[in-house]
Amino acid sequence: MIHTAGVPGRSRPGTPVALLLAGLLGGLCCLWPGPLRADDLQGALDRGGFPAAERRQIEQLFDQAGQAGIPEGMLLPRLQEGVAKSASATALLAALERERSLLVQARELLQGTEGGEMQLSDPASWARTANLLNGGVPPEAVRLLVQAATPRPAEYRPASYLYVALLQWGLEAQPALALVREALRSTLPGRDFPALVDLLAEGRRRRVPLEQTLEQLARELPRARGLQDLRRRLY
Amino acid sequence: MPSAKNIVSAGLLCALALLRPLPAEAYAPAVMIGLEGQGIAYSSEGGSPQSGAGLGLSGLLSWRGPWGEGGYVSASASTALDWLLADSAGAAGLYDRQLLLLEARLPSPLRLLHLTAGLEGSLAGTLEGDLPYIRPDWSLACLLGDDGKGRELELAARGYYRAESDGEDDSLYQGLRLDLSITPSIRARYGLLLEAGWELWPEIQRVDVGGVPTGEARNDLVGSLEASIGGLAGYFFDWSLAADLGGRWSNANRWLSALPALEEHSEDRVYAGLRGSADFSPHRQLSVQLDGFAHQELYLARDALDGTGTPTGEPLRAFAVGADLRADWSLGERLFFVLEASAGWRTANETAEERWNLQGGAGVQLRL
Repeated sequence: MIHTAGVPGRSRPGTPVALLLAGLLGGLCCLWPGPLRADDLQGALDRGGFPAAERRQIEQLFDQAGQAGIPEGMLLPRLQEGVAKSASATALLAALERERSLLVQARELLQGTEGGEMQLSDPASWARTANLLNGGVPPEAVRLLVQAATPRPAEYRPASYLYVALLQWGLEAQPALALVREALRSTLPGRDFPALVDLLAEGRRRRVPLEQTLEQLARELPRARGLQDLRRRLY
Repeated sequence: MPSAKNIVSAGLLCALALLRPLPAEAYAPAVMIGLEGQGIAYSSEGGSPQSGAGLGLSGLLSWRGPWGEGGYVSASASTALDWLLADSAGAAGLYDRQLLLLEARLPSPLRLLHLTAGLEGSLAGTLEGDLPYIRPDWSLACLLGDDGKGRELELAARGYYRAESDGEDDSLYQGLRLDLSITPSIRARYGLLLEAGWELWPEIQRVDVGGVPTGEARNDLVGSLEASIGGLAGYFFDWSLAADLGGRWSNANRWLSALPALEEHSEDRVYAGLRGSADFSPHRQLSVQLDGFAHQELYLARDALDGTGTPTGEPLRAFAVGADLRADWSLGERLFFVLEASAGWRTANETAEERWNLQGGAGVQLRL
């Protein structure tokens, strides 16, 4: 065992353990790809080290997207992700094209939906809509989500995550959407939406029929003063 | 011909009609029955391991309904019958545990008050080793503060009386509990719980020199402090961890005939423990719950005894650890396939205080 305690009256030496740890950390820093830097398109392409022809193809895709009204910043994360994963240019182009197509589809959906323009003006919500379509959520369901978020547009994204989580938990689309609507009509903040899934799971543990728990939630959500009060009203 | 569920529902609602006002928007009661095969292995007081196998039959009836604005009333009754078909220690037979719980949160303007009354008991003794008993309990809690931002303070007076028909461990407890919970987000919740109480053991008497009962009943003061943390990770995983410290101060004593000598404060002790739980339900068809604990006790004045009943000169210490696993998979939310397993182990510097047990079971539950 290497003793790291210093001897009284003497300066503490750089112990082998400390040096080893420093070396390990330094090595990890070199290996670590680092967070996706907030660089621009050229910076990302430089880091990708693509051959000139492929680089031009990627730049062309971004130009076309820009002309179609899609900001560079909305496709850049996909490019950066591909660079970080050392994806081939072919795979990267396919992914970027799919992303561009989804963003166009999402824009058309939002433009044709009540409350959609507000979500379109927020790049994160626009990207989230594209992400929902990419995840297989039917366009009609996305449309209903956007409409449901009209009273609280800032909670659109948390509501969409809740919707997907409810589907993943096994709820059918209609009751999932109904619960999301009730959550958006309530004063429950979006950051607390995940707890609604936990409440359904709690009901299941207590062997309460799911329909009953959903009914109780629909009735108590508008009345509850916060999540703890809602939990007390149910259990 | 009305279904079993409708008959039971009608009976329960008639019984609950005594409660006024009768909630107009009450839900139908939940009725469950279950059957499982069980296996058990155990040892106590340092004896040789024993094992057994049997069947368990369970029933659950629960009902809940809103009461005015913000209030609710609920009632639940459960029964567990365990039929140990074979046991190496000759303990085969029927065991049971019954539970009845009534709960009410009063409607506005009294919605700060929460009442519970329960009745727990066993007619034939339990698989866990309890003699037949009955144990009514009660609690009146008042929400002292709720800032609407996740900080709540509740004060509760609670108590119970446990009566054993064949034993001498009857006890009456009354205590006060102060519960502070802080929930800044669903990802992190914190709690601090302080409880102090008094416990009377009317059938256990102090003894004098020679071990002669004096007529003075045993009285204990108990106190505990618990800090907890927990939260929701993702959407489907809830966890919590709690650490507690506590103590018991008692006028009980005991006569050590091996010496002979009188040992005062034989039940005084302090303890520390850790408790954790995890609930995972990634899909409505599946639920997994895991609970675990570790608990260390140190008696302050009681000596550990050796096999001849002679004090060893060391204070009695005991350490217990255990875990409980429950998993179920449901088919259409009416039929549940259930798997349960539990393990507990207690070690001490006195053989009579040592024991362990393993229990497992698999079966089905049906919601009517």
